[in-house]
Amino acid sequence: MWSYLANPERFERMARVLTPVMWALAGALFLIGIPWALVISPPDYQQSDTVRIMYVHVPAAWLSMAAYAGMGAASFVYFVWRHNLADLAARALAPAGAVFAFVCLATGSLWGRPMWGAWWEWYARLTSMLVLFLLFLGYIALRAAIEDERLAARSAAILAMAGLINLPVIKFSVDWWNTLHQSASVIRLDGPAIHASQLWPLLVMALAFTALLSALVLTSMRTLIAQRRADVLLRRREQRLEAEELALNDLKPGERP
Amino acid sequence: MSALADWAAMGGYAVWVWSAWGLTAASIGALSILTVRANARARARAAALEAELAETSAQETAP
Repeated sequence: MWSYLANPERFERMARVLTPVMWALAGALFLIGIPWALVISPPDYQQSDTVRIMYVHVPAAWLSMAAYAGMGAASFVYFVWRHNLADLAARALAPAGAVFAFVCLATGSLWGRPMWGAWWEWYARLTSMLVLFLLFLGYIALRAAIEDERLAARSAAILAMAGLINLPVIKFSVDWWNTLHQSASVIRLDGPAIHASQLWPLLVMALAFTALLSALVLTSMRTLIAQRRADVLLRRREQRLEAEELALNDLKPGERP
Repeated sequence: MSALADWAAMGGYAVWVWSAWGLTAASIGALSILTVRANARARARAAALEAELAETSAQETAP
């Protein structure tokens, strides 16, 4: 399967169709999810209207973790099989994941201030989420810092794979450590412990975020492919100019144009 | 209070709810715009180089 997907031309053919579809899907889901979350769904009996922050906070958290899982998996595929498209996927996921992690942290802070009375607490959940954000930034910085592209890709892949250990820490942090942070209420063995009037808008928003992440990643991968293509063409142009110069030098001075 | 103003007040938590949603919209909106713009720029550059190279090679093959 990897070899099938690893063909850039085949990817481009598929992405040309899938990218606009994902953008449209994200737009449509936001059109449903936003009014549902902000208007239709009822205020919480304990949290009042601050519960509406959850509809962006939780999808952002899920999708930043999904982005990291994707980045780690793509890095593994790149590291083992050297498929360039997997490396491009990891590169495309990093900025989107960083923004989603940032949104999760910032909206959590804006909820924590009125509900906990604190912008920030060093709970395991918050700390591991901050680590996730920093891992994304570290990945981006590492890639930018190393000139040699192959070396940059491989070092960044190692960092991404090592950071995977943080994902289960985030997931189980609310069970392993004492914390004020809510424990899992949607993804749990005995079914969701959240009322349907809040669960549905949350799921629609999560789907919208998923479509958005897909659209962003596909678009960024196509950007990276176009950049690589431009680099190849640039090199070809340089070679041609050099060849022309050499040809000119072979002519006698009087024959030069 | 009108129904609209009542809704916008968010049960007294307007500052927190709207700043959280506003921040999300701004971050995600900016990322989306930058991503789409970078894509358009990269593809335009590749297409321009391709056209230029095709032109010069056409000149070379011309008599």
